[in-house]
Amino acid sequence: MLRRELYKRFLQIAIVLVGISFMSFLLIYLAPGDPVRAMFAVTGNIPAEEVMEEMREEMGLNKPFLIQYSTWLSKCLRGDFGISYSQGRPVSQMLSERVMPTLNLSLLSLIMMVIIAIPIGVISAINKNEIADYICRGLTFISISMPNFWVGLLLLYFVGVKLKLLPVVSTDMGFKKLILPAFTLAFAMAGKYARQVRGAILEEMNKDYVSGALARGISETEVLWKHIIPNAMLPLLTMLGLSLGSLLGGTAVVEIIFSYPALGSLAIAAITSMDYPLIQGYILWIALIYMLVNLAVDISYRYLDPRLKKGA
Amino acid sequence: MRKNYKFIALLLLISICSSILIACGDKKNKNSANGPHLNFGVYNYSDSLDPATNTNSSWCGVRYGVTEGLFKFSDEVIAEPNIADTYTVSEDYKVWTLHIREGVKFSNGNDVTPTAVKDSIERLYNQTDASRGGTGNSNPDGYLIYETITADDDEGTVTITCTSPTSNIPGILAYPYFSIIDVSVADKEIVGTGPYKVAKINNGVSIELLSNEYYWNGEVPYDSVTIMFIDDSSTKAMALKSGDIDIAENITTASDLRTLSEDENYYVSIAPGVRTGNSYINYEGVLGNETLRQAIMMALDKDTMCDITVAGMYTSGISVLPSSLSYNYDKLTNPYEFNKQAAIELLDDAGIVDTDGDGWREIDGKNIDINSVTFTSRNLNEFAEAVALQLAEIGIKVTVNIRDYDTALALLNAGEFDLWTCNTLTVGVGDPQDYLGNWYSANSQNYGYYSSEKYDELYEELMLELDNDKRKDIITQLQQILINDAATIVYGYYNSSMISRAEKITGADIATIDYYWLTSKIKPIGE
Amino acid sequence: MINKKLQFIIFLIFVLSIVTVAILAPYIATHDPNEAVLTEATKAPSKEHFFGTDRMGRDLFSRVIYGTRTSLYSTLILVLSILILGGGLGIIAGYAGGATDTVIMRFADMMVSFPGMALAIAIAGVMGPSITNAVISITMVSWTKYARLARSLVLKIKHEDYIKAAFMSGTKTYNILLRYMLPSVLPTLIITAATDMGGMMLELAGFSFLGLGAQSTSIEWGYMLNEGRAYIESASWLMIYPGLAIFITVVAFNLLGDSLRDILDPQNDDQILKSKRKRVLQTERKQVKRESLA
Repeated sequence: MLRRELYKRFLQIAIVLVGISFMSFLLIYLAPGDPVRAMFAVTGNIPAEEVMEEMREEMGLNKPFLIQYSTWLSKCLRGDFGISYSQGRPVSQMLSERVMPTLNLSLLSLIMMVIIAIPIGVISAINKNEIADYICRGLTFISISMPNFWVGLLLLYFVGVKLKLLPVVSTDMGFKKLILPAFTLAFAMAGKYARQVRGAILEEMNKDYVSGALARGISETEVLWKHIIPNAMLPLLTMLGLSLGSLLGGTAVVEIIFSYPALGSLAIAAITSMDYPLIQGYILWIALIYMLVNLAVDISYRYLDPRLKKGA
Repeated sequence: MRKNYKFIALLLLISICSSILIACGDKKNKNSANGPHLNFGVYNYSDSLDPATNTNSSWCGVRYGVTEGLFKFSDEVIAEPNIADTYTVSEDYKVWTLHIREGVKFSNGNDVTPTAVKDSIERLYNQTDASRGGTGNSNPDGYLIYETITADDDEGTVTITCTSPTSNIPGILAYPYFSIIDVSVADKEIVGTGPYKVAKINNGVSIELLSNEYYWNGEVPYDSVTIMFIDDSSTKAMALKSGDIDIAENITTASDLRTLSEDENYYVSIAPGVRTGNSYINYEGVLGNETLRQAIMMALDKDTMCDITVAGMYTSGISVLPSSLSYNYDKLTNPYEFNKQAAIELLDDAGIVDTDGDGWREIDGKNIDINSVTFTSRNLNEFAEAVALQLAEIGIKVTVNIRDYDTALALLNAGEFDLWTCNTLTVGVGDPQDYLGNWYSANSQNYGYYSSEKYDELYEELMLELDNDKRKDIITQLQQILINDAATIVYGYYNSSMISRAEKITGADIATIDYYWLTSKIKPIGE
Repeated sequence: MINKKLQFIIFLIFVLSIVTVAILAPYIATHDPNEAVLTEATKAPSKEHFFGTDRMGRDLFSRVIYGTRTSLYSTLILVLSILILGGGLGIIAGYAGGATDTVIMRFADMMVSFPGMALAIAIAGVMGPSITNAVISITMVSWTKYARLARSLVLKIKHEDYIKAAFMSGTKTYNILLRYMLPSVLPTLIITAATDMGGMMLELAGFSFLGLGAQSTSIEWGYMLNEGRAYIESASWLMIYPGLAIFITVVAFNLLGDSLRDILDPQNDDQILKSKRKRVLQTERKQVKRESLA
C-alpha cells in the first residue's frame, strides 16, 4: 500500500518537475536579452551585431523553442545539465558544490528558528493576553518587520567588527562561518513561526479533551507537555517543511552579505548573466529538493499521527 | 510510546545535522607557508583563471598576479614590453616579430620558449572556436585576426602575420585574453608567469596562492596569499576593519569609502580610471534637436553629481576620453558650462515652451518625454535619476527606465531610447580608436545615429594613420567635435580604489587600468 | 485583561490613523517629496528636515509620509489578489473534488516549488520591473497557501447536512459556493491576510532590493530602505525612518488581525473561561502552599 502511494507520489513529482522546467524555459525564452550580450557587460564594449549573432548560432540559441527545450530535457534525463555560459563548467558540478552548504545553512537556520520560536510561542499562548504574551508578540513583530539584510549587516558589524567574536569572512566553510547567516535567517523566520506555534497551541488548548483532563485533576504542566504540545506539533511540522522550502529559495541576500556561497547567490548570478543552463538546472534542483522534503514530511506524518496510520 | 519514537527521531536528526556540520567544518586554515601572508578581499568575477573561458576569467588571471602577457600597460596606459622585450614590425604593419625575453619560466619551472608562446596563443583561438570544438567564450577575434603565427626557438622570436595592417599589436597583446599560459598542463591547471601561482581554488570561496619561485621580474614579497571572495561592499569594508583581510579592492559603498579615507590606519589609493560614464543620445528621437541638447548640457551640474550624488565615485569630466589619458584633455574647451538660467533662456528663445500649462515643455505640439534607459552598475542609475531631477527643474520631462544590462542593451540595439547611460572601458587595448568609432556613422546606428561629416572624415584618417603623434592630434580634434556638437552627455570617469592596512602593507596603489590588482609592488612592512 | 471588543477598536483606530496619514499626506508633509536639491544630499535630521535628506537631497520626512500611500496601496492590492486567487481556487478545488481538485492542487505544488525569485526576474525581464509586476510575481507564487487553507475549510463543511440539504433542494452550485462556502472560509482567510500584510510588505521591499519592484520614480518604503543600505554607518537615518514606518505598519496590521481572530473565532469564548480557571487554580495552589509552610 505504502509502496503504491510512493510510486504515485514520484510520478507526480516527475510531472511537476517537467511542468516547472517547461514554464521556466518558456519564461526565459520570452524574456528579452540573451547570454551573449551579458558576456560583454564587464567591459561595456559591445561587439558588432554580426559577432554576437555568430556566437548565438554557435550556442544554438536561434533554434525554435521546442527543439531547444527537448534537447535540454533529453540531456537532463541522462544527467547532463549542460555547461554554464558564465563559468564554462558543467552545471551539475556547480550545483552539487553548493548543495551541502545550502543544506547546512538551511538546517542550522531551521534548528535555531525552532529553538527560538517554540518557547516564545508556547509562553505566548499559555499567557494569552497577559504581559508575557504582549512581550513575546512584540518580539515577534520586531522579527517579522526587520528586513534580513539589515539584521545581517547589523550582526556582522557588532559581532564581527566591534566584538570580534566571529570572523567577518573566512575561507573555512565550517560551523563558525554558518552561525551568523543562520542566525539572521532564523531571526527573520522565528517571529512568523512563533506566531504559528501560538496559534496551534491555542487551538489545541480549546479542544475538549484538555478541559476534560483538567477537570479530572491532571496537572496543567502535565497536560501541556504530554498532550497539548505533542499534538500541536503535527501542523507545525508541515509548516516547518514550508519554511525549509522558502529557505532553499530565498537565502540569496544573506549569502551575499556573509560571503557564504550557496545556491541562492548562484541563482542570482545566473539570472543576471542570463546563464540559461545554470538557471534551468537551479530551478530543477530546487524544485526537486523541495518536493522530496515535502514527501519526507508527509511520510513522517504517517508515522507520527496514529490517526492517519489507521486511516491509510 | 509515540513520544519516545518522536524523541528518538528528533535526537537522530539533531545528531545527523551536527555531525554534518562538524565534519564539514574542521578544515583548519592551513597557512603552511611560514613567511609573510596576505589576505586580499575581492569581488568574485570568476572562479576560473583561464583566459579562454571568458572575459572575466582572463582578467582575473592577470588581476591575481598569476598570468601575464607579452606586453603590459603602464599607468599612462601605454603598452610596454613584458615577456616580449623587443620587437620589430614590417613597413606595412602586417608582420610583427617579437623577441621573447630570455630566462622567463612558468611557475612550474617550464621555460617560456617562443613555441610555448605560440602554443598559448593558438590554444586561445582554438578554445574559443566552437567549430573546432572549443567551449570558451572569450572573443580574441574581436581584437586580432592573424594569418599565421610562427615560432623560432633559436632566434627566440615569435612572428605574427596579421590579416590587415595593425599598428597596435603591443596594446592588443597586453589585453588579458593574450596572457601566456603553459599549454602542456592547461587541462588541469592554469600556470602563468606572474609573481604568484595557484595552490588551490575553492570555488566561490577563495583562491590560495603561493609565491612563484621562478618569477623573472624581481622578488616576490609574499610567500602565500589568500584571495577571499566578498561580494558585498559593506562586508568588504567590515572585513578590513575586523582584520580578516589586509587589503581590498574597490569599495563601492560611498560611506564606507569615506570612513576609511578619514581613518589613518588605512591607506586608500584612488585613481581616476579609464572608464567613462556617459549617456548616448538618440538623434532619431526628440534629442535630434540641437537647441534642446545644448540646453540639457547647460542644465546639468556634473561636479555635484560626481562629488556628492555618487559620493566621489567618479571624477567629473567633459570629454569622452578620460582626463588621465594622454590625449590633451587640458586643451579641450567646453562651450556649455553649467548654467541653469542660460538653459532656460535658450529653450524659451527657441520657442520650446510649455503651452498647455502642465509644467512640461513641448516641441511641435507634443510634450517632451525623454526615455532614459540604464542599468544598475557603477552608479549609473544614480546619474540617470539625477539627470531626470535636474531636467525637471527646467521643465523637461524624463522617464527613467532602469533595467538589467541585458535588456538595456536590447533596447539600445532596437533604438528604443532617448538617453542610454552606460560606463565603458575606453582603452581596452591602450588605444581609444574603437571607442571613438561609436560615433563614426558606419557604426553609430548602434549608439544613437550620430553623424557628422567632419567627424567621419577625421575618423577615417585615424583608421589609416600609424604615426602616434599624428594620431594624438586627430584624437584631440575628434573629442572637441563631440563636445561642440553636444553629441553625448559625459558625466565623468569612474574611480578605482584599493584600500590596505597602513601598518602592514606598503605599495598598494591601484593601477589606472583595472587589469592589475595584485602586483609584486605590494609588500609587507617590516619583513 | 482588556475586553476583546475594546482591543479591536483600539487596533482599528491604530490602523485607520495610518490610513489617514496616507490620505492626508499632502497636508502632513513639509516638503515636496520629489523636490531634489542635489547639493543638500544626505544631510542629518534638523529643524528644516525632520528626518534628514536622502542622497538626492530630498526631504526624508515627506517621502516617508507619502510613502505610506504607495506601500499601503501596493501591499493591500497584493494581499487582496492573493486572497481572491488563492481563496477562489481553493474553494473550487475543495468543493468540486476529483480531477479539478487534483489539477488545481498539483498546479499549486508547481507554483510553490517554483523559486519565486526566478519567476519575478523573468517577469520583470519580459514586462519591465515595476511594483505592478512585482505584485503579479509574488501573487503567483504565494496564492497556494490560501488555496490550501480555503480547500481544507471547504472540505470540513462540504459533507455537513445543511450543504447536502441545499444541494438536494436544487440550489445552484454557484449559490452554494457564494452563500455557504465563502462565509465560512472568509473569516479565516481575512485574518491570515491581515497577519500576512507585514510579510508581504517586506517581500515587496525585497524585490526593490534586486531592482525588480519599485523604481526610483515611486516613493516606497522598501525602496527607501534599499537606497539607504549603502549609508548604514554615515547616514543611518536613511534606513531607520523608513524601517520604523514599516515596523509600525506591520505591528498595527498584525495586532488588528489577532484581535479580529479573537472576535470572529467562536471557539475562543472558552479561552476566557480557561484562563480564569487557570488563574483560580493558581491562586488556590499558592494559598495551599502558604498555608502548608506556615
